[in-house]
Amino acid sequence: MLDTLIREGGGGVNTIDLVKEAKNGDKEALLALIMAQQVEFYKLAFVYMKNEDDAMDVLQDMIVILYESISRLKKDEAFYSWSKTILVNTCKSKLKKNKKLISIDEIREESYEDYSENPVDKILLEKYLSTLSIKHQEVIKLRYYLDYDYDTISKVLKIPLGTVKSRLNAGMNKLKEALGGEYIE
Amino acid sequence: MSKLDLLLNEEKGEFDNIKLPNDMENRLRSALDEVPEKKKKRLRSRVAAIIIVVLLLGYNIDTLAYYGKQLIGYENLMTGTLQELNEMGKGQLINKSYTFTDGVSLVLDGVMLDDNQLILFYTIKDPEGDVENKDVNIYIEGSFGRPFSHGGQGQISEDGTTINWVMSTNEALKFFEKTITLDLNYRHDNGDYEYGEIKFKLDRNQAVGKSLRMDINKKIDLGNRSLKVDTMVASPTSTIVRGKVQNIFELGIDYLTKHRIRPQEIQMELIADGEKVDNQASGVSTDNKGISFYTRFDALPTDTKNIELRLIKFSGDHDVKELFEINRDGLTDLNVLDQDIRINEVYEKEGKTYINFTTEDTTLLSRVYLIIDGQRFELEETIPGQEEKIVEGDSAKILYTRTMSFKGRGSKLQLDIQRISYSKVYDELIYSYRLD
Repeated sequence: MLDTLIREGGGGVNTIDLVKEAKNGDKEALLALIMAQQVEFYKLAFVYMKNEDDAMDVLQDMIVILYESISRLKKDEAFYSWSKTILVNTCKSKLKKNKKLISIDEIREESYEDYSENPVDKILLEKYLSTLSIKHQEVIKLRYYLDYDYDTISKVLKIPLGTVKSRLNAGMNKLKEALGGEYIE
Repeated sequence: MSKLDLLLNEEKGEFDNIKLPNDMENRLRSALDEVPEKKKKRLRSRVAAIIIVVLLLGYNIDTLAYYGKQLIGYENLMTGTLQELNEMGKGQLINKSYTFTDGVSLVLDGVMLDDNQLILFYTIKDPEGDVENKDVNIYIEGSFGRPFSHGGQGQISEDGTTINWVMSTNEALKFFEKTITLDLNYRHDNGDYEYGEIKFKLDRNQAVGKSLRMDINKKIDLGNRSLKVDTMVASPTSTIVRGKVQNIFELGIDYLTKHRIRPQEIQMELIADGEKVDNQASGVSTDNKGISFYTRFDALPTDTKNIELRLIKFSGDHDVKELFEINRDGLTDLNVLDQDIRINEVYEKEGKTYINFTTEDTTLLSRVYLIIDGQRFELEETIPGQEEKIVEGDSAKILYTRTMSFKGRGSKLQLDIQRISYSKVYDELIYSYRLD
């Protein structure tokens, strides 16, 4: 009967119910959960993958992993931080695989193409960001690009709050160092 | 604000205005479509876990452990034919493993390959006896990283230290695909991921034999739609039927006219010499070639003479997008895409409008709104009701009565039915064949 309740119309159903349905193997329920925060999921994937194609690829991989492992999610209310952690991990493993294929030149060209206002600065930022280790890059991007607070970053990346702060500090310092002079103040 | 802050802020602006891909929902849905339904798998692995307990009591474990070239420990997971093939020593032994940092390991014991699929036989081991809760996922990749979706059954040992899996790809391998990579993805209890890899070369000489390919090319009329069954390939490990619900041209028209159909289940039956062949898996997927489906049955028994393929049932979700006037004080009978919907009663309570209605139990208003005096209201909930079995001649159907509630009230009511899903029983012969 729950089945009917959720599927019919789809209005007024809360996250917890959908998570329960998804745990029972209901694919549409899982899809509804993701679509309810589609912008957040897409942005998060984009931060790591930097282009639409790869972002959509990892989102597809993610939803399959979610479907296969949701029965092991212990706290239903933690669905979103749990699924975003999985998304981040999927991105990282995909990036690891793609590593050999992406050269710096390619990044440079892409950045140049889609940015007209101040290409030089933008290239520099992207270039120096990409020289930082992934653990520093990701906290900076999540904090500044996606406007995540420390607590959210800590939950999604599964690292302690203190580590978020120290990585963000260290990352920003390295970035300033790399960019030099006028960027510092 | 420093220049760096400004730069980062500009980037943020771009993210704030990011444009979502139009087909995001469809692409996610088609990824999910590729995954076999889960319920079955879990259920079977539970059943199997119970079976093995009985077996281990009855068997002498020493004799189980070494047995020539055969794979040991997968007996309960193999259907009839696989078991026979294994007993004949068919297939390729691999025996490669990967061990994660906490001692959990995956051993790829062997594979079987034929024209329909690649079947992997592997074991996940946890020395600490909690293998059931170890989140190890495998991804199968062929040449150039081509991914294979897959499905299968697992069986947990009595002491909880091992799970044996028999996993089949949902697609056949290309003839040039020699090196297969298993990407292992292990999620530790603390949420950290660890990755591993097992690579192996396929030995085509050890593929398990020839297949029979039948071109069926039969079109079946489904009312406003047609189903085309293309081929059936009977290999030593399985029999796979493939077809399409509509081609891309038709699908395009559906999108334009906003009358899409999302098939949910196409149930078929394969009968070999009068005996039903076990249905193992089925799937529906949508891509740029249209909607395609497959159904995998067990392999045909070796001495099969006559085969029959029947379409049993088709269920789908259909776009409707029509308004239906509702009579406030009495019955309203609606007929939507040939499905009867009887509105029994409409009443108001505490500012809400309730609609009590009856359909066949397989019919569902999958997206519905109520328009009250021109204003659209979302469905708040459906209150479960009663089922009633109606026998008409030798066929029986179940009618289901329930009540929908909408937050709003007024005088003129229109039901805005966007989508309806239903299944239709066909039980019709698609194809028959005599093997000589």
